[in-house]
Amino acid sequence: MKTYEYAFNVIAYSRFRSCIVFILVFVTTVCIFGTGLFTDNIQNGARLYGTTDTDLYIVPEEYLDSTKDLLFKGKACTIMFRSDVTEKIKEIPEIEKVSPQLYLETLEMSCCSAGGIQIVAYDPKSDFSVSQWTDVSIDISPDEILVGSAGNFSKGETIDLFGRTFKVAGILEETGMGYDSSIFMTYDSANEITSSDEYAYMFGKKKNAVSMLLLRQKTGADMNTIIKKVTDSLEDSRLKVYAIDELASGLRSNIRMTTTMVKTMDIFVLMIAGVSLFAMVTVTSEQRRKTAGSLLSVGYGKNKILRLFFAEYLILFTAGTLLGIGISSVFLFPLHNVFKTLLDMPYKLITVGQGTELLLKTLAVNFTMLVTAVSFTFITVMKKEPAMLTGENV
Amino acid sequence: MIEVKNVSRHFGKNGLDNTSIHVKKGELLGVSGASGCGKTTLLNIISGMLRPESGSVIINGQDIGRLTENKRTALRAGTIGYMMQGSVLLPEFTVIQNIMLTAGIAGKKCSIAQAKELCKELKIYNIINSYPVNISGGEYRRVMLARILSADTPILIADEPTSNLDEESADIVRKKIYDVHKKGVCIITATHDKKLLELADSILEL
Repeated sequence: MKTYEYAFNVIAYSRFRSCIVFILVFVTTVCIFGTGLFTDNIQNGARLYGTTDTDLYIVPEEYLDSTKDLLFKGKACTIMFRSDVTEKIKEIPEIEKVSPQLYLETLEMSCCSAGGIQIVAYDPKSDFSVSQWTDVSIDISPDEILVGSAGNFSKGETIDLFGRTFKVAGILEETGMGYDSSIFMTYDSANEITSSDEYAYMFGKKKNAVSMLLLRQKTGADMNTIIKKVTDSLEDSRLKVYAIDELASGLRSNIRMTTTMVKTMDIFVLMIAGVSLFAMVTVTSEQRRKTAGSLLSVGYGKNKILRLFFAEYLILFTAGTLLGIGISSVFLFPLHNVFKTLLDMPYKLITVGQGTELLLKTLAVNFTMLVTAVSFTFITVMKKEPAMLTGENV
Repeated sequence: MIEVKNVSRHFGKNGLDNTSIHVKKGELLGVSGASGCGKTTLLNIISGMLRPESGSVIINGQDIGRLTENKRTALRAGTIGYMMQGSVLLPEFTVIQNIMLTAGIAGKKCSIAQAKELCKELKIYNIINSYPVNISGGEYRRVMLARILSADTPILIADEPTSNLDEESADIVRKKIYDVHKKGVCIITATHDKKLLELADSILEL
């Protein structure tokens, strides 16, 4: 008897039992791999705060929430103030670099909109934020743009923005933050747009405006001293300086809550799946006892019977694992950017190495479950004398 | 060929007590007795499915009590065909698959044609593609006999082969057992069936 022929026969005949085992393995896989990948992506996105080159942000106080949304969630918004404070900030000795950025009204708000994409204008000379995410030169020409990783644009493609045609000069690497869904152009290009009559007609005159000042402190400088000096410089203005940690604290707690919730739910579902599988294995052991007794009575060895049981479970576990990984991957890889857009928090795909680690963890848990199920079945069945298995002894 | 010496095994008040038998090659031994007297226990012990509390079973000069469980299992594949009393057909396989499977385990080359011929002789040809759950009790017993006969072993042990069969089915089974006996197969059968006992060379009353 061919082992797998037997196993497929048993699976096809015992459809209900097979379906239950298959579903339980599928659920376990989705819990470990699918939600694991999801929460790891969120945590991976969250880790980027620590790697950003910006230490402080200056924005109008009333736009604090919009700033957080823009920075971390990619929600398009418009923030503007006059750029005349920039020079004062530059004079603070503990500040190494000051770089302005301007956020233009999103395409969604304009007449030629296809979807709400944030346009970020940066100054190539002082920038240390956009350049962090690309290997190509950020000193692009006025008719060129850079795009975020989730923008679905390709290098060399042309895009029409506010009646002007721009060529995509490069694509930033994934940041997990708002940059992923943004378009980047130089301040010169942005100024040309905002000073045009068409723009003024739609949105009003906005010359020499900035949306945010990004500050980088000198190595060893005291953050509190800088904040005090910057705050003094901003006196009598509606602007306020925020440290990156201050901006991210609320979001961090949201991420913590979300990942804890997902993981708690996972543990709960895993426990249910484990108990159900154990119950299923226990309930079916009576059936298997008879099968083992029957096979032993015609001379089929115990090791071969173990192989039969193992093959049956192996097929079901493999199918459940593959489907679980497949479904999770379909949702979390091709729809990665959709998730990123829908989520109100940073989201960055983990690396291949981290993904492999998660995959191995999933396989290890499923294999342990498989071995446990087979061992339990085999030990329960085989500890009896062959005649006892069939229930015929007297 | 088979020598059972002072074998005992008990299950509560029932069981087998200090029993000895000697069966020669080609002999048909009938075992009878009241329910619970130990007929099935004796057959289980001879076939190596159960270990005796005391005594020994020697088959072809080999004490099977000294064999490992794997070797005892192997003995059932090639030497002893054991038709048990209960429902031991594999429910996931059709009648013909159950028969072929047993022959395969015994290492016997039983072709589909031979298996079908056996089914014709036992009048179960019409159900060869049915699953055990869909056949009658009489057909079930005959399939079990066919399953064991397909292995073509020199020893056949049959536990109540004609129980719960109508007269026609019982006749078919008796005839087949007698035919096999005439071919030189050593048979031990536990039965209440007087007609079957009449075919036996000797009878052990427990």
